[in-house]
Amino acid sequence: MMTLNKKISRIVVIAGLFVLLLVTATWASPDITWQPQRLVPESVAPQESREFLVTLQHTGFLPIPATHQLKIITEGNIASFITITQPNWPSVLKRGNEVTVKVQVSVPQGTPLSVERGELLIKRILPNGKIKEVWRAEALPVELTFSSIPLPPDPGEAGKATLEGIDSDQNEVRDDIDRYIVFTYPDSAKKREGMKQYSLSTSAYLRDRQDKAKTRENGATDDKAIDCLAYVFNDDLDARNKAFEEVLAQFLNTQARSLAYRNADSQMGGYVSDSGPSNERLIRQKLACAFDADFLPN
Amino acid sequence: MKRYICAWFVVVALLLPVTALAQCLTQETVVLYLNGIDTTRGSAIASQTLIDKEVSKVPGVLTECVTYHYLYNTNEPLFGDLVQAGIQKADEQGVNVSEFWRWFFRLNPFVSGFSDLLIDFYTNTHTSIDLGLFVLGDQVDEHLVKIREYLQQGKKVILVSHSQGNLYANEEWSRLTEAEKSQVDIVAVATPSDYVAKNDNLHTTLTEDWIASLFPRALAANVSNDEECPDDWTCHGFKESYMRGINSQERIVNEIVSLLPTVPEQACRIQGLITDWDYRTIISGARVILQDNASGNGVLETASDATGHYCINIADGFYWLEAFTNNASLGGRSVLLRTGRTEPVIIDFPIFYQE
Repeated sequence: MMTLNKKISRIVVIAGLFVLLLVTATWASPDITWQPQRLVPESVAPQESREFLVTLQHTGFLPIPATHQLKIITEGNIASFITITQPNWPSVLKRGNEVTVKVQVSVPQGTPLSVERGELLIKRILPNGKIKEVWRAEALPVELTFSSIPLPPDPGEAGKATLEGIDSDQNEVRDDIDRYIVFTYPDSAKKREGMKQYSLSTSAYLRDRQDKAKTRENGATDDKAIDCLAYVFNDDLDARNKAFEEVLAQFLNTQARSLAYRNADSQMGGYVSDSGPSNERLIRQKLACAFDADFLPN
Repeated sequence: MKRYICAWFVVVALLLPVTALAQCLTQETVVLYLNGIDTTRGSAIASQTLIDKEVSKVPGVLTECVTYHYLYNTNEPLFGDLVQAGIQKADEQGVNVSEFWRWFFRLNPFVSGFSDLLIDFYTNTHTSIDLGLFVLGDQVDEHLVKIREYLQQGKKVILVSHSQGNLYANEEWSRLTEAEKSQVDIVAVATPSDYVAKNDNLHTTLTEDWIASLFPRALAANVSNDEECPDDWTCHGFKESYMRGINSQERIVNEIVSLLPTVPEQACRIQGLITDWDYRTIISGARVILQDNASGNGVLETASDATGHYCINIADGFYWLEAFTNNASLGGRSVLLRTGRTEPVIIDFPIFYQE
């Protein structure tokens, strides 16, 4: 008899724990979520207006009753740039419902190069007009980049997951580096092009690090890019050195990238650079640019 | 037709400016920069360019006879250890790995955690490792192939070595034949060694150099910049401290210049290039008048030398350079020169003209 009771007790305890676990898991996840989970689009230029669609999903068990009017609102620095077209809400928002929300971003003329952050939230309006939170609803983080020079979205932590990073605009430069260059040199097309040339050669330097011959070739190309930077920085070598070392520090922002750079550099041990006579230095620097620096306006 | 011919020459002048520059008429010299241990290849080329720029400012240096390269050396185990430790330290401090590199490049030099790292690294290194282990044989061999190639081309070689680079310079020089040694000089900077294989007097070590001071047998410090090194707490960086401090820079540059071919004072001394001239089509051998931009007065009249170069001393300011052929005036063909220099500048520029 005692043995049977013990068994029942054990079953009850295990079942209780299971139910507790289930409830905890259910309560830990929100009832209302967004797709995508972050709205971080490519840059929007001043005087430009762009539309994005996001989807709100009800995945919980508790429906939101029809007595509550629902509204999507914007919070944070993005508020003045965003217009929300309120969706057609179902009479009762319940598990399985999906609602598409149209987000319009309009950037006024004269908006400086900047990043603004905020979030979209779902709120309920009570019959008395009071605005209340929607219980267990996730906010949608939004990050907007305003730039007259087209920029890919900030890749964030996802951009650090691989050695190559993310290159969503497929210009062969990592998105975070693209953004760094434009934010650091917004007023100089020459410097941006010079830094892009350096970034391309540095990417190749890291990529081909296992192949000694290729690494040496890439090292020579990288030297040219550094020479070109001297030209675009008007032979101010201090400024040039700081500029390429800053972008290199950005490049090597993960352990994998740092170790890859170390490996590539070790392939260069014994290398002898190529150059020409000193009286040709400035002309050589100009010719080292893969673009016509004199053609660019600033 | 005439217009097309002129245009063609302008295109040639733009595409082939290098060929129009002076040719070296004496023995050529190759200056080779050998980097130290806590550096990168980018830093090596930056140092090489800096030497080139500063040396070329010295009057009398035949810049057309001097070429600058770098001989890269790495010490994979030691550098690797430093990078690994840096990554770990960044992680411990909860900062991005980029911050380690910014510190490493002296962009943000006073980060205490990383500085401790370097102190540990160097103090352990100098006490536990034989200096000979800093030199990797295969890299020495590779450098020697290139050095011998220059010597076979009849060129003179100057090794400008910084920190660990001095161990390479000494080793490489010692492996040369007596005939080769006579054509190779060394200018040592911040050497951890107790000798310079050649020209023992040609060495520069800052009294402020903390890293050099860790090597008790190193040649004694012999110059001070009488100030803290603003961007480099170690006072050891080649471009950050040695070439930035006035006294150390002057000493290094003078030591290099003392080994370079120069020309007598009265001859045409090419001191530098002014690059932002407006290329025009003016014949070599033309009469050239320099006019003050503000007053419009002619301040100097000269003629190009046999090689087509103009040697004109001008003070800081803006000038119009008007060029004429030997026979006909071409007053409309002016070249605006700009110089930000405060000392007289000798201008060397390619000139073409087709009448």
